Amino acid sequence: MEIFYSLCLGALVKLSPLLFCSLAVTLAFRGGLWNIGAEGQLIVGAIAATVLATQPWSLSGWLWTPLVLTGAVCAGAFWGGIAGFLKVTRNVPEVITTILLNFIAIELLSYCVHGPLQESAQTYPMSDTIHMNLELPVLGQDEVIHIGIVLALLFSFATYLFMFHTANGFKVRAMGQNDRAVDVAGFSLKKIRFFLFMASGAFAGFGGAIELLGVSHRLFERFSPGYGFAAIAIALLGRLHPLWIIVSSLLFAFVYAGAGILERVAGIPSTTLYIAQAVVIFIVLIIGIKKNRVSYGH
Amino acid sequence: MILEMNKISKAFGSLKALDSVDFSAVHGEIHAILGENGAGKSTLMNLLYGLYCPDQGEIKLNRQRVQFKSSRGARRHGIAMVHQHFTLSPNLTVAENLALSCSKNKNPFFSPSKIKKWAQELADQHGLELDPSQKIEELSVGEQQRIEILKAIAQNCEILILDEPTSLLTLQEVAALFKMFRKLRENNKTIIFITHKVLEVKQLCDRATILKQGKVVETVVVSKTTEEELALKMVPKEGLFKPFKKDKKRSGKSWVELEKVTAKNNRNTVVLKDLSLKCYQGEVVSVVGVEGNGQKELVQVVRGRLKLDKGLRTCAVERIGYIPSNRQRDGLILPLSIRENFILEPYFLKECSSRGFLNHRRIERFAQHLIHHYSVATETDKKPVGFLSGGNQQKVVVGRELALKPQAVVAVNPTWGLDVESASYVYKQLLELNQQNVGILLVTIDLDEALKLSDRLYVLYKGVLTEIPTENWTSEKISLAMAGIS
Amino acid sequence: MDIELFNAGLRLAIPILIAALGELVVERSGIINISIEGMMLIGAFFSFWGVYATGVPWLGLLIGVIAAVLMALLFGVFTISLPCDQIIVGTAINLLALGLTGSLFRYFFGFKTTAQLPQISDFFFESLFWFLPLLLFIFINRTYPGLALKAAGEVPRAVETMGRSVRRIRFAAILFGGVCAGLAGAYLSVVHANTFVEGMTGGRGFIALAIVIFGRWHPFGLLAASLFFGCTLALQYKIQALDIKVPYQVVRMLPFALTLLVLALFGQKRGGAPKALGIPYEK
Repeated sequence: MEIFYSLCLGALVKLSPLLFCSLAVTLAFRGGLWNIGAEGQLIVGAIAATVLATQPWSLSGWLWTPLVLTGAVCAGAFWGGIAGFLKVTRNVPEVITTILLNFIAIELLSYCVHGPLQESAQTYPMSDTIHMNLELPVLGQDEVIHIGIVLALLFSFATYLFMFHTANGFKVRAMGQNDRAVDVAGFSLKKIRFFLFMASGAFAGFGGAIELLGVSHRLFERFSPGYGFAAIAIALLGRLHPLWIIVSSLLFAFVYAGAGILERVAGIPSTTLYIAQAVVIFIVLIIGIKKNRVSYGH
Repeated sequence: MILEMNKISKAFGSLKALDSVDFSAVHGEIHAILGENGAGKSTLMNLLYGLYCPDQGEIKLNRQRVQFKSSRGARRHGIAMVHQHFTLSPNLTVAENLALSCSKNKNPFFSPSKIKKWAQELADQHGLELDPSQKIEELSVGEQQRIEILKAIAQNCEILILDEPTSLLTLQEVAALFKMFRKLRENNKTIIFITHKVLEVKQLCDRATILKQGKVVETVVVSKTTEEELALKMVPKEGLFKPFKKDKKRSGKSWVELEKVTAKNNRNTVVLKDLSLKCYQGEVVSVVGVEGNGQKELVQVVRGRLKLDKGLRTCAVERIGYIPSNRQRDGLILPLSIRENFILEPYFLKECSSRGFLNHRRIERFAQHLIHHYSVATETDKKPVGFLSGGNQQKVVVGRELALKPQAVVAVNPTWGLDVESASYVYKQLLELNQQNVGILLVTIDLDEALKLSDRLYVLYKGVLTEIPTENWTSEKISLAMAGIS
Repeated sequence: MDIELFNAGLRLAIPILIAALGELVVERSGIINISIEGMMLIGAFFSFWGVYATGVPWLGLLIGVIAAVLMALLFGVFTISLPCDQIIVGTAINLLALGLTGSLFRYFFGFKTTAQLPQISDFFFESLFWFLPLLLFIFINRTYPGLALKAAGEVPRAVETMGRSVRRIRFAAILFGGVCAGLAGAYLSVVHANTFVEGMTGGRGFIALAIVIFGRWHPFGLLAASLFFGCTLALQYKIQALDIKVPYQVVRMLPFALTLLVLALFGQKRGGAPKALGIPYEK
C-alpha cells in the first residue's frame, strides 16, 4: 500500500515535465513540423533558469520567479527558433536539426555543470541549489506535489483553446494537413512555422524551469531522463489532442515512477523505460493513426 | 473480334456509373469512346484495365473470358492504358525508362549505348522521333505522352487505351500523336480512344461508341456519320448554360497592370520575360498555353505573391479571388470540414474571429449561407470536404472566393475534371460576376473555354505573352501560337 | 595534409560513410529512415556480444548485422506494410534500440566491461569504405534494379507500371540500409573501440543522415563529405592532444555543431532529393 502511495506521488511529480514536453510536441506535430527536439529545448530552458535562479540577488519570489520563467521560455523558444529559422530560410529538414540541437544541448548541460555552473563546493557535477525564495509552493503534507502540476494542466487547457478556438490555431491545424493550400490562400507559411517552432520550444523550456523550481532545485547531468523523447510517444498516444495528452502523460508518468521503483526494489534497469516507450508508439501506430495524419479528430 | 464487353454495369454507391453497357473492338482499329464528362467513359475503360471490378457483365479477350484483379493482370493480357498522369520517371533517360519497363531480370546489368540503340530502333519502327539519351524531365508533355505510348507498345501490348490524350497538347503535338496512332494501326494494334471532342473522332477514328449517362447510345462507323450527328448524340440534356459573347466595350479602370515584368521561378530560372499585361474591370482576359510556360508564375505575379526581377506591377484592387487549378492540392484541406474550408482565407478568418478567437456561431451561419447559395450537395457543414464529389468541392472553392466579393478574380483551369453541369455552373458564376464589372483573368489550357468566355485572349509561350487579335480567334491559329509558331 | 591526421580522419569516417551509404539507398527508394542511429547501436551491441560469446570475430560481426537487419525488418513492416509515418516509426526504433542495448548490456555485463575481444583487422572495413561507393554507383547507374530504385523514389507509380513492386524495392532498400547500419555499428564496437559502451554511437547515425544531404544523394558525394567530416573531427582530437584547453564537452559537441553549420550554409536545395521521399506508397 505504501508502495502504491509513493507510486502515485511519484507519478504526479513526473506529470508536469512530461505534460509540458508533450504540449510542445503536440503543437509542432499538429502543424506538420517534426520537432524531435523537446529534450534539448527543455534542457536549455533549465540551464537558463538555473543561471537566473542561482544569482546572489535578494529579490522577492514574486518578482524573481517570473523572471526565471521568462528566461527559460526565451531560451527554449530560441532553441526551437534555430530549427524553425533553418527550416524556413534554408529549407533544412527540422527532424535533423532538432536532433542535432538535442545533442548540443546535452553537451552544453554537461559543460555547464562541470564548469561555469558547478556548485561552489566544486565537488559534484551539479549546480548550486536555487534560491529559497524561488522554490515553488507545495501542496499537501508530503511536500512533493508542487503548483507546477496545476500550471501544466492549465496550459493544456489553454493549448486546447488555442488549437480549436482561435484563428491562429486554425492556421496551425490547416498547415499540418495541407501546407500548400494554406500558402495559396495567402497565409505566410514561414511566419506560422517559425512562430510555431518558437512556441513549441517555449513550452518545453518552461517545463524545464518548472522542473527545476518545483522538484530538483538544482541542475545536474541527467536532469532530464528523456522527457522530451517520451513526449513524442505521449503526444501520439493522446492523438495530438491537448486534453487527451493529459491522460497519456499521466499513464507515462506512472510508467516513469514505476520504473524508478522497480529499479530500486527489483533491480530492473531504467533503460527498459525506453523499450516501454517504443512499444507504446508501436501499439498506437497499429491501432490508430494509419493514413498519415489525416484522421486526428476534434 | 479481339475484345468484347457484354452487359457491363457498375455503381458507385447510389450513382449508377454504367448501366448494361456493350462494347467491342476488332484488331487494328481505332475505336473512340465518345461522351461528355461524367458519361462513364473512363469508368468503362478502368474496368477493362482492372482498376475496378464490374458489378455485372463479362469481358472477353480473343473469345476467352477474363477477369482482372489489378492492372498488372490486364497488362499481362496485353492491355495498356495511358493516363493523364504519366508513369515515366523524370530522373531517368528515355532509353532507361523504356529498357527498365521491358527488362525481364535476366541480366541485371545494361550498357547505356546498347539500350540507346534499341530505343532508337523501337521508335523508328513506330514512327516516333526521339533522342533516347534525353532525360524525361527535359521533354514536353506531348513528347512524354508519346514515349508513354511507346513504353506500352514495348511491353507487347495489343490493346492500347488512351484517356483524353489530347487535352494537354498543342495542335502540332496532336498531329504528331495522330500520326503515331495511324502507324500503330498499320502495325495491327487496337487503340481505344476516350474523348469528348467530336472533331478528333472524325479525323482519326474508325468506329465510335457514344456513351451518355452510363448507357450506350449507339456504336457508329465514323465515315458514315457527320460531326453534327455525333455531337447531338452525346449531349446529355437541354437547358445547360451556353456561354455568350458580350458585345461590350471595356469599361472602367484597369485592375492590374504589369509592365515589362521579368520573374524567376523557385529554381532560379527566368520564366517570365519582359511581360506586359493590362486587365480591365468588367472584362474577361484569357491566357492560354500549355502548362509549364510560366502560367504558375504569371498567376503568382498577378496576385502579388512573387518578387519581380525587373518591371513593375500596379494593382488597383485589394481583394482578388483565386480559383487554383488543382483544388485538392491548392484550394482545399480535404480532412478538414466544409465549414473550416470556407474560412481558409485571411479575410474571412478575420471576419469570423474576434480578438483572435474563432466565433463558431458566425462561422456556421456563414457556411450555411454559402452551402445554400452555391448549392453544395451536403447534409452538414461539418463533413470533411474530402468526402464531397469533385464538382461540389469546386463549388466550395468557388463559393469561398466569390463570397469574398472580389474586385477581380484569377481562375486557373476552373473546370478541370468537372462534369458538364458543374462546369457550366462555374462559367455561369464567373460571367455573372463579370456582369457586375469584376475583372476576370482566366488562365487555362482549354482553348474552347477561353474562346467562349474571353473579351481578349493572350497566348503564353516560354514566358512570353502574345495578344491574339479577335480576327485570328480560331483554334488553328491559336494552337500555332501555343506551340510557339506564329 | 598530414598523413596521420588523414588516417585518424579515415577511421572516424568509416562508420559514418557505411551507414550513410545504406541511408542513401533507402532514401533513393523514397523512404527516410531516421533510425539508422538505433540500428547502428543494435549492430554495435550484438556484434560485441557475438564476438564475446563465440570468440569468432566474423561470426560476431554476422550476428551484429543480422540483429540490425531484424530492426530494419521491423521498420519496413511499419513503414511499408501498414504504412505509418516514417519519422514516428524511426523515432520509436531509436528508443527501442537504446533501451534494448542498454538493458541487455547491463543484464550480460553489469555496468562496465573489461572483456577483451579478439582483434579484427580493419582491412575489411577500409576496403568497404573505398569500394562500396563505387559499387553503389555502378548499381544505381548501370543495372535495372538500380534504375528501378531511382524511379521508386521519384515516381513510384512509374515503377508499378513497369511490372515491379514499389513495396518490394523499398523493403529491399531498407534491409540493405539495415546491413550497412549493422556493419557501421559493428565497426564502432568491435574494431574501433574494442568494447561496448551504452549509447556508444553518440549521434553518428544522425550525422550520417546529414552526410546524405551534403553528398547530394550521390555515392561519391557521400565519400567526399564523410572524409571531410572525419578529418575535421580528427583535427579536433588533435587540438585536444596538443593540450589546448578546450573542455571535452565542447569537443564532443563539435561534430553536431559542425553538421548544423554545414546544413545552415548549404541548406537543402531542391536538386538531388528524391521527390517521393517520405511519402508512403499506397496503391
